[in-house]
Amino acid sequence: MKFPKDLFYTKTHEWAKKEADNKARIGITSHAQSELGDVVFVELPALDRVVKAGEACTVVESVKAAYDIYSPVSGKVIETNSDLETNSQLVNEAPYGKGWFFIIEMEDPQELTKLLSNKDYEKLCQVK
Amino acid sequence: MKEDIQLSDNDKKTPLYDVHVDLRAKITDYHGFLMPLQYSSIISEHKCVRNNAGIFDISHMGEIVIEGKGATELVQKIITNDVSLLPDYKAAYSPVCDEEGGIIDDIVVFKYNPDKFMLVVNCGNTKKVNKWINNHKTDNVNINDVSDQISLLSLQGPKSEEIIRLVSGDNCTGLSRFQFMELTVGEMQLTVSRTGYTGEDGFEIFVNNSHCVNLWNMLLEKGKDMDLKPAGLGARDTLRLEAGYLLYGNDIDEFITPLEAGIGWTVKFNKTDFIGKESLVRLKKYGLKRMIVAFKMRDKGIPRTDNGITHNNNVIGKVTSGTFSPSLEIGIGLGYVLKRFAEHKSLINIKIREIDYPAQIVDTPFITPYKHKD
Repeated sequence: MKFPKDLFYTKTHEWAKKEADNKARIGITSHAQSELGDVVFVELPALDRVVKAGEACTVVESVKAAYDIYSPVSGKVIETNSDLETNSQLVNEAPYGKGWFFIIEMEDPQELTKLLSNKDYEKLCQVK
Repeated sequence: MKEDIQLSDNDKKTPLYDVHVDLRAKITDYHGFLMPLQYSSIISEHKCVRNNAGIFDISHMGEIVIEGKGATELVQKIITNDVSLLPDYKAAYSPVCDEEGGIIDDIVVFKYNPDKFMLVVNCGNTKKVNKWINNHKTDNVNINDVSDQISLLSLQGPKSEEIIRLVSGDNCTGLSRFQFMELTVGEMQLTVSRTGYTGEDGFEIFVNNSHCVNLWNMLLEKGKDMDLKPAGLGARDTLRLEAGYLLYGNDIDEFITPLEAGIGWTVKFNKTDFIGKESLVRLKKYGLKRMIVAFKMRDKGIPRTDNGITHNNNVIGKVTSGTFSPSLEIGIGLGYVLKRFAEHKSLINIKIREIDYPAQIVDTPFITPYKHKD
């Protein structure tokens, strides 16, 4: 199980990666995709939607059930991963890469510091 | 994402529990049993059963043996189907109903002879059914719940016959659908039936707990060259739904009758008295209000239990089982609608997260089933 160093993590198994101009890329962790099993559908947020940190804004469906995904940070959704519409298994295959969900223009980049480091998140997964 | 599985220390384990853990199965609580949900992935296990063969540990299922001179009389009283003319060593599917015709459980009745039957019941209902039968006990019968002594493995898929041949020679390959036999393999006393819950050819094998792990290992070893793989409860659910089989607790319960559930063929009105007969006769005479339907999504959307079913913005029913079909790669489901909407090919909508997604009522099975020899 991988826990890349350059990401920020939530207790609810999402990750955020800081990019240029106060943008953050959002996805779910490798642990999360493994718990979900085969991802068969992803319902992404609408462009320009404004979300709060901790707000449910994406739905991931596995064969068994639908799960809410929570935004790690507040801001406006400015891009979504359209590849997931036709190829939802990218979430299983590359949760930190091609399986990303959306890019958010952060309201307050300081929110990232409230998230978990890779070390802390790895510990959280080991407790399970 | 919030994780939802809570395991309890009070959960029961089948003799294969440690084997499942060693195979790195994802374990889930199923009616108080710690069971393998999946080993690799639901989709790959599902496809393995459809294309080759899969082996399921279903030792959580309950077994109740009814013996004695009054056995036939008691069984006939508690089930809606008729096993009086069923040949020895043949099994039959039947609901067990209460006086109102509500389904207490759906079971498979194994008839050894007119004085000995084994009822295979859903694990969540074992105690309830055992109590029900004892409450209606007639003279000259012994009722034994042997669930804690018996394990059950289910070998399913088009290559099942080849695999069972490697285990028991030609002994079992001659079994017709729903026929069963007792045989000895090495030290193991087995009861093998040609039954299953997947829509494929297959065998269910009853074995004493002490030999369960041996049998599992032997099957996997013999089936290795036929790509036999372990399959979990996740694939069991998608396979049964594609085959159009009902799941107790989802699609049927004590508030639903067999007539509404589309299994009216299991209610034999011509046989002498059975529990629920009067209510079911009345229901048949005055007509049903609601009826089960199978539906397939037209495009997007994965139906789930409790989604609303709508027609012209009016709620006409509710989904009881829904999933993404690995074979058809589209959402499929079962649900109940007001009787007048239960027409083959009718267009309905499934309300998923407040949005109506179009679906069409279809016949079951959803997939082309294996053609059984009878």
